[in-house]
Amino acid sequence: MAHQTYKVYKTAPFDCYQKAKELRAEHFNKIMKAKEEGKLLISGSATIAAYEIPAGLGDDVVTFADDGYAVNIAANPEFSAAARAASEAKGLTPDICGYTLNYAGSVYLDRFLFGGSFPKPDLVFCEHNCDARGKWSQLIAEHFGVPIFLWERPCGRLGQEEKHRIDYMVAQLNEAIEWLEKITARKYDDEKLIEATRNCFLSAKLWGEIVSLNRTIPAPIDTRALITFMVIYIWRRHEKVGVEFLKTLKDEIQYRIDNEIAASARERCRLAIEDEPAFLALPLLHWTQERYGVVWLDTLSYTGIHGEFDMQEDGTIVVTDTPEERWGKFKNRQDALWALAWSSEHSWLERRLAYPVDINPVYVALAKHLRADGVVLHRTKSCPANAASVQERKIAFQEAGIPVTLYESTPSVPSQDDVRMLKSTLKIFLEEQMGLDEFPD
Amino acid sequence: MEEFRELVENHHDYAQDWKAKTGGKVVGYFCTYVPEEIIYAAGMLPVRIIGSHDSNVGTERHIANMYCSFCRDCLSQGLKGRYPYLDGMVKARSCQQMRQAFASWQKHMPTEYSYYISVPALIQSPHAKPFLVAELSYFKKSLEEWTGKPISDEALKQAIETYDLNRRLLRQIYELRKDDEPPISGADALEMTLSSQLVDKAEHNRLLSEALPKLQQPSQRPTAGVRLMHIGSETDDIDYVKLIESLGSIVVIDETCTGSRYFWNEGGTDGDLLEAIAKRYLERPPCPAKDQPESRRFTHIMELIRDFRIEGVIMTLQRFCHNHETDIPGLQALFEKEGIPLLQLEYSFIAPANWYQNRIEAFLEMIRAEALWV
Ligand code: SF4
Ligand code: SF4
Repeated sequence: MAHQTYKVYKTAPFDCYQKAKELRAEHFNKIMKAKEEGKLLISGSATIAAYEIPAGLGDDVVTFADDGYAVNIAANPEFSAAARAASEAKGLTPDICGYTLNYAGSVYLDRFLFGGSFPKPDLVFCEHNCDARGKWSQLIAEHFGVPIFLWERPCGRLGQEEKHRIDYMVAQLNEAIEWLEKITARKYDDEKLIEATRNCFLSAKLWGEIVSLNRTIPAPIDTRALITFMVIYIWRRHEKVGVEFLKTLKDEIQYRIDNEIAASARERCRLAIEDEPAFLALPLLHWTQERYGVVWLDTLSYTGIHGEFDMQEDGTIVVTDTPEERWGKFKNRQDALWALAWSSEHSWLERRLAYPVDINPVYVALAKHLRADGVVLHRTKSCPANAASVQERKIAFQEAGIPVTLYESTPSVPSQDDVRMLKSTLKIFLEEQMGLDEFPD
Repeated sequence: MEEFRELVENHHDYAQDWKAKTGGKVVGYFCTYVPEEIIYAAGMLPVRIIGSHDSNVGTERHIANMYCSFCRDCLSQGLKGRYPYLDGMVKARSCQQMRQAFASWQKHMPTEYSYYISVPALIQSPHAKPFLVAELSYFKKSLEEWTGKPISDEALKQAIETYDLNRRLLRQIYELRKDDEPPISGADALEMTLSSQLVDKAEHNRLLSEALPKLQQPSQRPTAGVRLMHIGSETDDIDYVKLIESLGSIVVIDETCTGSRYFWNEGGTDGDLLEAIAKRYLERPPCPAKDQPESRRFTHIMELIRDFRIEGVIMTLQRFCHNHETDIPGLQALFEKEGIPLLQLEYSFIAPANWYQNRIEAFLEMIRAEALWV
């Protein structure tokens, strides 16, 4: 429950910020310079296997996760508007996935957000994890006239047979490797695949532990910081440097817990924010922290990417062991592919895109795991996949007796209207449902 | 064509009468990727859930307002209690929007039986077929468990044959529309295909078999007007097609999932029957949601345009349908290259059909004017 009274905690910026900034800049630099340095540039999404499979082609492969890039465009209103206009001029309608419009628009404009012209990929290798994602990749491959390989997660329901689903993914990933060898005329190195896959799962476990540390009161980290660090987890999870970074971050969070260094100085209300955060509205999260003593806990949206968590029968959440901890060291390509497919099947993020109502109990359990007092849901008009089941999710939280509210925004099109709407939604929610008064000045 | 119209208009009564008469179960389904043959082989009546084009009730609580109006209209039918006779519901994976309508239906109006079939999105993959065969076998098993009766190979074979006959008859009728004076209008054709999705196929086959020879007689119709193709997703709005045709045109072919995509190819009964069914669904004219990485749909559309001597295309777009809308740039470019006039209309399930009148008139005038100057 939220409280009117509160304790004042110490706060401090993360020491890791600087390192995260460097790793992020390095990532985009690699993409921008890939062509001039003669590296192989692959366009894809940042989901499962996106980095791990290409890793076997050699150290000079750069994977450009276009979803993350589209989000970066969203944070730049001017660029975003120009990109969307370019997409619409090509015939795309304004009501489709906003990130497709952002990304495709940048391609059509031949402008890269971070300067220069758009880096033309050598090929597209992408997971079809939502309808829009598949069509988006198709648009890009057709525009550049480059080869494309899509593989899919079959989107079955929880509780239905799953072995054939995993077999289907493994078969596609095996085919992907043969295809990549043929297209690039390179010999595929299984050891590099195994190493990347191993790193990926080490990162996933660390990420699960990092998120879980936020059960602590006061919370040592909030959603804004988590998003900052999450990009390193997502983009560099398969590299040693990514694993090392997450270890350092986890240690720093533990240090903050041991020394009661809080994310919010006057924590008195813990709110889980579900689905994509409204990126433009991040300052609002700060406002609720300053004026109402809220700490924002990110839950499922960015925490359940690689099967980091399991829900036990009694509804408790545990961090999942890595595949190698469960079944032994990867011995060959098939072991690594099987682990990737298995984690896709068990990824809450993927399930959220596949058959979202099935995981409503997990949403509720995760909010409880993080000791959230309430939940704020986001219905994003930018992303039909993330918007799926959000209404049903609201009902699920209501049925679980957890205070919940829902706001709508279009994160891919920065809009001050959305920010105003969110502000009033939050104010009403905090005051009426959570029973909080604004701190006196 | 009166019989088909009546079946569409009274399909709820039809299903309830069928149930009373046969004592069988009625299974509602979403999306034409549901392998109806298997349901039919279990002695049940598969009925496609379609919209009603009246105001939505209560869907806002369950489905985001940025989802297409078709999925909301379908759910609204359930919330309004228009399907009290359903014993079960089946959904095949198509788009996220329909999945949501199905999920909400299941949660708030649960039926005795419910099943979700994960039809692959990447139907071009060589691995899609074994995967779909496995999915179909689990589906068949689950139906058997529900009814307590096995589905014999003989029953499955018969069901496939009944379905294939329906596809063949519809195709034969569609072929007649290649004539200079097509014997049926686009609205009549839509009533035929739509009714096929709502009633017992054996009965529908009887009606089609009676209609076919009559339609093969020399046509009495006057010259039909501008020959149009209609492209879209779920387009079950007969009044809308009637409006298009009332303005001096005739829809001679469609590429919609309530029309030709539903029945275009047959399955056959060679070899393993589930494999034959899987092959049929993977090879049918694809929904854009499943048409990747290659755009094979475009080739099919161009073939239809040539075969049916199309003068113009009307593309009816459901707002918020990512799958169909992402195909627009490719189709626009293709039509421009081939010199095929295109009219895109943004459709709403609850808008009166005459909303679109001015734009259709202008489009037809443009085509006629071009014809004058040729
Ligand atoms: S619909 Fe959502 S999940 Fe899919 S590509 Fe767009 S932003 Fe990504
Ligand atoms: S119109 Fe598009 S979004 Fe709507 S049900 Fe059809 S395919 Fe799905």
